[in-house]
Amino acid sequence: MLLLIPVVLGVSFIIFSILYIIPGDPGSIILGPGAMQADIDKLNAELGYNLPFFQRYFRYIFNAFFRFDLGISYASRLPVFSEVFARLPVSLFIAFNGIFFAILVGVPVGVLSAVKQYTLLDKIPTAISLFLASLPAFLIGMVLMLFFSLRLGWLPSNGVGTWKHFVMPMFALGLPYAAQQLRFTRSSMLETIRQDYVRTARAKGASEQNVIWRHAMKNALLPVITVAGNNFGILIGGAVVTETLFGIPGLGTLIVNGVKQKDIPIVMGGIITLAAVFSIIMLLVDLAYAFVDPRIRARYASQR
Amino acid sequence: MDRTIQNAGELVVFKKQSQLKEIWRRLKKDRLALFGLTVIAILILVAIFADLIIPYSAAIKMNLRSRLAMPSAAHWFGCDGYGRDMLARCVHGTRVSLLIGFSTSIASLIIGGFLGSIVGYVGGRLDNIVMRFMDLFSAIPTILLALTVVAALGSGITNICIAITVTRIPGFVRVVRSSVIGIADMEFIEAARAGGTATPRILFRHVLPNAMAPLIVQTTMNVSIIILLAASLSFLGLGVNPPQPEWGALISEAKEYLRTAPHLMAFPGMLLCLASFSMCVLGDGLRDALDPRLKS
Repeated sequence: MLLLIPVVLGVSFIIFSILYIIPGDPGSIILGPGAMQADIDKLNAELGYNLPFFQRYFRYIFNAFFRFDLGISYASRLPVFSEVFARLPVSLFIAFNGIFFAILVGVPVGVLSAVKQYTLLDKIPTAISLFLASLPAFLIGMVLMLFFSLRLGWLPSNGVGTWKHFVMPMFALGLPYAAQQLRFTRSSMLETIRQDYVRTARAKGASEQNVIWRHAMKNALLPVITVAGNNFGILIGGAVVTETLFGIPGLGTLIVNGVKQKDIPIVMGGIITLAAVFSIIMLLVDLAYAFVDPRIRARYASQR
Repeated sequence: MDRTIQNAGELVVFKKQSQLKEIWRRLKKDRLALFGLTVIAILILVAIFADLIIPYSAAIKMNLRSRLAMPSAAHWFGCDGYGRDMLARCVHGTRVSLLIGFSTSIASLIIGGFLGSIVGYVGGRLDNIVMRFMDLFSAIPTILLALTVVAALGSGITNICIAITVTRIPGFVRVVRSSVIGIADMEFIEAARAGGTATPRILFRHVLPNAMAPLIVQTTMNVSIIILLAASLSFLGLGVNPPQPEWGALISEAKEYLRTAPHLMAFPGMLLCLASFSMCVLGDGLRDALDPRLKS
């Protein structure tokens, strides 16, 4: 938990430093080209733009964490904080859908192909997953769009509203990671079923079902959790592309438009928020790990 | 191949054949990797001789009469929304995409390799500081970090190469560092140090050549990731500047005509998948060929 704070601070520092090099001061951008120089200087001083680098950074962080103030968008003139947090739930929902789909498909198929190694049940999913992993999400999304909304007319291709709007984004985002989850589950499972205790369980006369699902699966799933957590970070990034493709008003589209319009407060606020969310998820994954694995739990208990 | 030399049986093999031949012999057995190698070789040839295949002017010359033309004898891949020949745009797009993929991967290899080897060899405080810094970079989802750099620098080929390099460096630093740490403890390094060899010479002549195998694999795999990442940036409209063709940009342009002319998406899409898939399987094959001990 204590590690989370320096990570978020460090990440925001990196993003702040990279965006610091952009020329142009907020005063003249907000007030427009016709403004008086005196007014521009006054607004810049008000926003703290004339302060040295580190003071500006600490001011930004202080405002963000204690006043929930991420500055004002250049384009819409609205507070960045409310814009970002109004759009965050949609992005998180899409990312969660994707990871849910990836786990739901990847883990069972991965276990199956490990158990039936060298048979067709192993080779076909592995080949498909290798292929899917080299497809970008936007291409999968476009192919889905072509068939399901333009040809068949089953699903809407743009915007949000009913559950139907979220089906294609889920597939587009989830499929490449389902493939990755599959490969990882498979190799983790293959390693586990060669362990001595699995052989012992078999020798004891445990049924094959029992051996796979109770003895092997529980141990093989541990590294799978880590991959799922890691993937979540990539999925948050992937949501940027998926949202743009399907015209979903999420945080991703906000950031991309911010980059295009040079709306720095939006870009900075949006990316720092997503990076913070990612760090929190990684922390939760670590906690889940300790919760699931009695060995790690025991180590923590003995430390205290 | 330091560790295998301890094994007398393997030593004989190395004396009979050069290492390169041995690696090639193992790679040849992997059919999927050979397929990848062939495809990549063809694509590289297309990229190098793009101007001989079809001049660049054909890729940017608009012709409203052949707007959205279907594939035909005159235009093998059809024409896009401005009547530009898709074959020409795909061929020159290959050049741009592969250029971004390879140059960025090699740039991150050089920077990450340099940083990683120094950090791994020197160790201690420097190692700790640099690695924590790298951890911070990894805490930012890749495409968001790339977007941040693009926001700061603007779009265009050079800038997206810089943006992607920034995101790829931590991975290289980590790979190089861990293999350098493993090698730095070995006896032949101790021997070199005892013999009074200067530290930079030990690092670049003795340590790094032995850390090459994971680096080559990492570089190959990264080309695939980078091509996809560059395509994603172009798809968002933040990659190469129009009218320059690039696979991601071509797919992005095709999105508007998805209903009327789906073939515009098909050709660059297939090229993109083919290249990324080939680099992936080639990387997998190289890993097995370079270090048979790792093969599962």
